[in-house]
Amino acid sequence: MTVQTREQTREQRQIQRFTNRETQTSAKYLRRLTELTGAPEGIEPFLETLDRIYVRMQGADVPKGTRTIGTYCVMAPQELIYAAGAVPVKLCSGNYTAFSVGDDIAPRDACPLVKAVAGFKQTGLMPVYEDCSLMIVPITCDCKKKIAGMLGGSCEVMTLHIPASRGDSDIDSFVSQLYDTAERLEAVTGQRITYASLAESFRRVGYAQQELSRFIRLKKQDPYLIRGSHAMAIMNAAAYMSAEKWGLALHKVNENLKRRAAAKQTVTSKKLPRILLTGSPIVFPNLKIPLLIEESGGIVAGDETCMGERGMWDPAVITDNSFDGMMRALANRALRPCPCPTFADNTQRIFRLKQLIKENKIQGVIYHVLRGCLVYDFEYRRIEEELGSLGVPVIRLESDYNEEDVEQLRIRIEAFIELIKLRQPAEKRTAVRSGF
Amino acid sequence: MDTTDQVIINEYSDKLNRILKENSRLPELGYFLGITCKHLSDIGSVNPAVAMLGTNIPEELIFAAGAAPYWITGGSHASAVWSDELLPRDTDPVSRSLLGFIHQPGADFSDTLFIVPLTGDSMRKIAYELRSEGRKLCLVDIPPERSASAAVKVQEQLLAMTAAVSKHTGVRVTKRTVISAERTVSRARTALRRFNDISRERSDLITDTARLLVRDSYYMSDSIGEWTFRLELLTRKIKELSGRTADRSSARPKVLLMGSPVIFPNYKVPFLIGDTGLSVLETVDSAALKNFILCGKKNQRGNRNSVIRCIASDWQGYDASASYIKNDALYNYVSWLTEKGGIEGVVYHVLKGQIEYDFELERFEMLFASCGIPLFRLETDYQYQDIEQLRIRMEAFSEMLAHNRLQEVKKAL
Amino acid sequence: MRSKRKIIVTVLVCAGLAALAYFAWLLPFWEFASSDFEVSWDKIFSWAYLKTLLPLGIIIALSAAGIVLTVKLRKALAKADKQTRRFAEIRGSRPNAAAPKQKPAAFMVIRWIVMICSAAVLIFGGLIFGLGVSSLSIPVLSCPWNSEEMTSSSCYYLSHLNELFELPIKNILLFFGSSVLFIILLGRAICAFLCPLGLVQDITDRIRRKTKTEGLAMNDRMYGALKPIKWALVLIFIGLCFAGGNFCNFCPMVAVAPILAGISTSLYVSGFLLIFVLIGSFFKRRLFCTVCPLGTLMGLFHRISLFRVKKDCTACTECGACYEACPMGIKQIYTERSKADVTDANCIMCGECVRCCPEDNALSLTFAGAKIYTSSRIKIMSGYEPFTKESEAAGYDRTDKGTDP
Repeated sequence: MTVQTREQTREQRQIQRFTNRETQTSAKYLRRLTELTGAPEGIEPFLETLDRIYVRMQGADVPKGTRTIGTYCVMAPQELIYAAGAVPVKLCSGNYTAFSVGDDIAPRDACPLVKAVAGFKQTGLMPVYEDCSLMIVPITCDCKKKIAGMLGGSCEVMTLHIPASRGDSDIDSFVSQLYDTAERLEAVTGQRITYASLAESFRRVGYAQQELSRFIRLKKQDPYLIRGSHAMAIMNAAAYMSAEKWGLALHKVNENLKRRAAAKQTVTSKKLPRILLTGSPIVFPNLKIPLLIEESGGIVAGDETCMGERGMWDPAVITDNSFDGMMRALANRALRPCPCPTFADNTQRIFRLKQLIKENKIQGVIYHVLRGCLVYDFEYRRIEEELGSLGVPVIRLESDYNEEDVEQLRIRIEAFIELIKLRQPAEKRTAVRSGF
Repeated sequence: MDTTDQVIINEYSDKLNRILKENSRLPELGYFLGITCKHLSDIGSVNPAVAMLGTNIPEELIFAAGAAPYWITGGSHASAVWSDELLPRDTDPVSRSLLGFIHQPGADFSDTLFIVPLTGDSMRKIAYELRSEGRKLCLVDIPPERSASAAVKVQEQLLAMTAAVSKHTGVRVTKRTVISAERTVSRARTALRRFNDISRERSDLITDTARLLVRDSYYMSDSIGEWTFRLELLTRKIKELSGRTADRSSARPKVLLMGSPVIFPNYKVPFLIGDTGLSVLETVDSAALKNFILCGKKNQRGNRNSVIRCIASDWQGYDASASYIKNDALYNYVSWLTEKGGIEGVVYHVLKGQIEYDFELERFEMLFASCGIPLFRLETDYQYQDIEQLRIRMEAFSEMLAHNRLQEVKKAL
Repeated sequence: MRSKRKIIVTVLVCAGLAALAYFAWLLPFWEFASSDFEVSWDKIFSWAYLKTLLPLGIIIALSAAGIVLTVKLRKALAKADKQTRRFAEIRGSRPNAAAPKQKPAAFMVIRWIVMICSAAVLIFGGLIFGLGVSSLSIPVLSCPWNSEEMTSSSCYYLSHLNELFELPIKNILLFFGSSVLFIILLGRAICAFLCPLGLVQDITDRIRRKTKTEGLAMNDRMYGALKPIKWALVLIFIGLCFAGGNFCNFCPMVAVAPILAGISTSLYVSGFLLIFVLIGSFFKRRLFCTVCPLGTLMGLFHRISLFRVKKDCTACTECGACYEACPMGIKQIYTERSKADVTDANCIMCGECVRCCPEDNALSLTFAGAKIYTSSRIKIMSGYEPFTKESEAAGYDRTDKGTDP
């Protein structure tokens, strides 16, 4: 007969409470996504993946015997992981429950993403985290740096130093870091990375990126064929699916969207204010801001966040098809086009925003900052100035991983949308805006 | 702006006066107080060739390139007002103060080459801010780990930095200049170590704040040679006094001051420690191990570049900065200190916004708990509004330490 | 550091082999018979042709040996170094798989066709067409010792300026007029489309890419080191004729064009340099073009030529693919953030940057204002298809490619 101590029963109850709250929040957001009108046919696999990871709390859907490697940033090279026979899983977390657990462990001023990761590691309940054989953490900001140190205590961690500038020597040193990563991956999975496997993985990821490019092109069409929140869910699901499965599922969605375009079936009939979302990443289930925007009568016409459109946008362009050339392509893609604020000179982000504003005919920009995310906050001032000179309104929304600020956010978002609507008739009268 | 100047002067002048009053037996301290005062007040008349943000870069290399680095250490609260609009709300006070110091009206940094070590988020972003203002910058990217490729990178970065400074000043860097710079700095460090040793032993002869001031004045002096000489005089005087007076240094419980760096004029915490009846055994921060980097024979082999590489790799080994993923250098040093004994408590000082120290706190808490040393976490910024709350908490901590002492004595009996 | 080692190895091997090539004059068939300057179709289709080709064949064989030796040496050095040991084998051996490739662009196909035709015309033109337009001078390196050139190439008189100024005024004006006309019309597109030495280098580069051998990735410091060599060559090109020698003694094309046309030529230093050019351009695409004196002189006119490279700075994501792809190492295509025109003095209009640019309309080549080649995302992605076993099992239908919206 096993005697359970009071401590053990308390722990079990805590675990139960955590699991309940976690699954309830995730299920609630999935429900809101399905209730939001205009979901494209073919979105089911993506929602199913999110359901599997967050509601049913199972691991990622990979073939038996395939290892998963956790990554914490867009800059971790996915192609290398596929080449070593494993599947990458992006572990940046958006979970409110884990955040509240992590609130006690991580320092008070740390960003909620890092707190949620700490929370997940502490409870040890998420298979997606526990199953990983290796965690690759690119050191982009202070919080990530320190969490890499903390994670190192409980699982295997490999850190990548991201240089602060992108000169030729920085790229060269990053290439040698990628070789070290490749070696480590081989040691973890037991499979050698060969030319053939690397070329194959370029094809896999490249195909997913191809479908993503098509998807974004379809998404931009005005009047809109798909809502931004659904698009965000689709792009978020890429973190937990292998590239070809995701690409194939997205292929079906793209075909459906094309059919919608041909049948002139749009998501809404009115002219909705077109909003660009930029700043700290928006990770499932923390979809409250895109959902709020679309429930308040706007549409998220584009986003510049690393769990959204930006995540798999840049392809690794092979200029030299030798093995070293492919590694160089990976290094270039990871560092050069990346508008992450970790780089000392991030002027290219302003150009990226301008391009998105021009292509998607954006009427307003919402700058999302997570509480404690210093790097994005630093850039806000300059972006506000630049966009102000273009005449595009910007607001800064600071938010955290809990639902207490939903009402305040709603008020501000509604006011912003009203502001845009007031400006709309004036825009119709004036000539086409030029000089982007 | 008279009132702002007044605020700035007030900020440090009463601290300096207090230190002077509390250490009336050591008139040699006057030199150090003087240079500190001059550095902070004379901002308008100086146009340094090379300025360094923070103290994370080996200064030997700057000296070797023919320039005396003008350190901007960021301890002043008053100067933070000049950077208010440029920085987000949650930036830590050191970065605010650094940027504000550069933007002070009256400060002339038009020809200065700024050396910026990219140790954290705020430094990267401040570097961009300075560059977009058109200032000349030299960025030094220190990887946050100690792998083989990181070692190579540090060496290359410091070589590039030396070349950039040399280009800016027009002075050629030769092996001789590097070695002579190393020697000057080593002498200063040895003098500082001797001073620390003697004043640690006899903390009744010189207050903690005076010790800290002497250390900080290194970054404010114009001539390292004179500073070293004066320090040796001061050390000799303390030694002489120690021979003549009774040892009352064990009257107060000794604590270790750790965490965010304490930079003049932000001496709020050491003054508080002194006021509540404690005494600082040692201040352990990122520069704690710097004094152990000395110029040895083995450093001098090879050509100029290999000497510089040697300096760089020594530096990396002794760098106890919190910008590393795992700050092993600091951890090992603190473990050694706890083994050596004499620490009765730890004051862990965290500045609002410097979360790296908060992340490290857990590890140190476990270390001190295993040795039975109580730890007191103090979170504050540069303002004086919370001084009363801190005083209350610190007094409680001090009472606990005194109580512990009593327990020890009782146990021994 | 690794690139430095690669360069040193390559240079040493080249030097060693070229030194051997110097002794080619010891070979018995080197003496010229009086009929050796005759060129005719009969001669080309006879055994004598093969005898004429032999020196070139030896140079090519030596270059090939040099390349193989360099690759092997590189692999051995990589294996010896702890940091690079793990992947030295993979990097140094020939793989049997293929990396994803884009579908060939029309621009590139046209460029190859034009290059081949131009080389044929410049080398065999006289034989094929039976006439020559010698008053027309194209600024390419196509050896005028080859009397079968269809048109004349400017390189002769530019490197023999003392002879040029002894000609009647009409010829001088014709010479400068036709050269400058070509330069203004085509700019350095001549390098990418018409120059036969360019074709030779592109062929070696093609061979490298087919065998997936690792090349030499140069960074801006190394490109900077080439600059003094470039200007020294310009000085030699223009100035040596006044000092008693001339550039034709060194020109690598001397070892190619006349021999292919059937004229026996003595090689000496040209053969030496040709080995350098062949091995160098194998590892670094169009290496000679980065130092070519004629190209540099043409590049001086880059602001007024009709071929231009245009950039849309907002669409550019600064991915750097154009810089990595550019054989001339032009960084400003990648770093430029305000101007729309990024034509550089070194740009040979090969179109690689446009081919590798993943953003729609970010880069384009224009001729007299009309866009002839524009970057396109769909084209970049045209090499990607999921044809792993899992994808077929998951129901991917290969025939359903998906059309673009």
